[in-house]
Amino acid sequence: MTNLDDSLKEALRQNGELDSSRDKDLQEKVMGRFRSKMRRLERYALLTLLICVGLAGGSYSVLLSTSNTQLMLAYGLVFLVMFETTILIRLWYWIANNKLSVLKEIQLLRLGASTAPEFDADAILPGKRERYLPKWERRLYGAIGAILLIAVVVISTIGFAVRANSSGTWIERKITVLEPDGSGKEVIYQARKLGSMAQPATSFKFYTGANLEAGNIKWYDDKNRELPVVKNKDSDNIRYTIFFIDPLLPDQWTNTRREFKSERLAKIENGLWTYNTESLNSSPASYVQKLILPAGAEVENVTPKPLSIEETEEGVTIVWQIKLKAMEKYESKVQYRLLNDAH
Amino acid sequence: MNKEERAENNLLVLRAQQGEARAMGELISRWKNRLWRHALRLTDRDEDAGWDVLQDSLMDISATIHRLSDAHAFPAWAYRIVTNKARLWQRREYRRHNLHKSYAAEQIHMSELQVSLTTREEADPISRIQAAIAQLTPKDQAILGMHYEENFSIRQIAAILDIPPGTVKSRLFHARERLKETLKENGS
Repeated sequence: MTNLDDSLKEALRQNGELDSSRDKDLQEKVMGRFRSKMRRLERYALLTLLICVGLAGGSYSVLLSTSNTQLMLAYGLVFLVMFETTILIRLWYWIANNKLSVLKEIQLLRLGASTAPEFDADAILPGKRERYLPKWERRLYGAIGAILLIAVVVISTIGFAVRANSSGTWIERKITVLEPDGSGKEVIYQARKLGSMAQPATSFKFYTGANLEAGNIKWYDDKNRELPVVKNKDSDNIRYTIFFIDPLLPDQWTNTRREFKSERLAKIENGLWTYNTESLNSSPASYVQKLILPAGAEVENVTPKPLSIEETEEGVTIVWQIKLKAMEKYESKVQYRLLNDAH
Repeated sequence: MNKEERAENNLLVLRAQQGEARAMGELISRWKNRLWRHALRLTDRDEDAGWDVLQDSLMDISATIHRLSDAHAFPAWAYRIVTNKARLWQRREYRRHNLHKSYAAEQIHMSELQVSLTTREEADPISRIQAAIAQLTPKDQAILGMHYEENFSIRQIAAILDIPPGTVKSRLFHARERLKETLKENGS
């Protein structure tokens, strides 16, 4: 370096000092700006986290409560993206903070902080972590986060429970044909939705009393294919597990037909035939029952009150139409006499 | 800046990036005078304009320091912010068609310098060089300041001024030449 260079360097260094009256004001302004920026950053980070948690929670609760497959996919995707974003934000913050901490350690090592006597430790050494948001604001965000989480848990639990039981109104049509000897055949057409948990249904269950003469009972699907059945008997009930040939998608309606033949559908006592039936569904049902008595039957007693009683070519036809609530027990009873009864 | 100063500076930048207000305050205290001189050179020694540029620049620095990816780059980054702010000021000045005013102000300033030089005929060499520097253009003053005061490399100056390194070299050479001529004319 030449002599001119040295003089130039010195001249440039001495070339103007900041006015001390302005200086103090400047420092305060700049620090104010720094603090407000840090406050804003903290606020943005917390709000973004809250929004992500809110969206993830919201989409999760919709995912559990909807039965529409497309909505499920859309909300599932939103949930995944928001969940991942929440994790990534935290991960990014952790990585960035750790990177800065490691770099700080490196600089401290370079400085030889513990040995250098001229080292201004108070100004240089890292202080404790500063918080820029006021306590009440941090508490507010914490409370909102907690409320969000509780709301998500409550809404999704309710939604899940509602959905699990929301198989809609079933449509059931039962046609019973009785023969003069008390034997008969029941055909039940059932259109229904199975309340499943967002997964295809492969089977459903049917119960009869253990002491009931079940006779020959079969299930058919809408393509007239006989459905496989597994029968389990315990002291109170007979449980039939009926398997679908084609799995039933969530929210899909199924049409099945149940056929039941028995030698003793109606019972006789003192020349009076009694036919009774009962059913109980787990969902509301629109129920139509049609009973065809043998030709020449004289009806003595019918409960509940039927929609119609007609004499047709097939025989005496009694029709009931009723709306049933979920788990509402339905019983019908008909007593009749037969002319020229051999019994 | 020596090695230790650089390490201290880096540490302060890293702490400020982690949100420590005390570190930011210390950083500002260390850099405001240098940045002030740079702003002053770029605004043609207009103290009010230099003050505005410095204030705006420090505000920007404090608000965006967390975005700085490399703590080593802080000096060049801060100088670049001041340079850009000064450029904005210059553009505003041109737009206001105040060129004639600044020319007139420059003339007054020059005559004041001449007076100051004649009254300080026996002044020390540093004062003579300062007077000669003041007669250079803002661009020349800024480039000399960055090179001699801050020891920025050619590449760093190129990045700060957003010009090719070759241009920096030639500007530096011409600035030195003009300074020598001015010193000669002033009788040093």
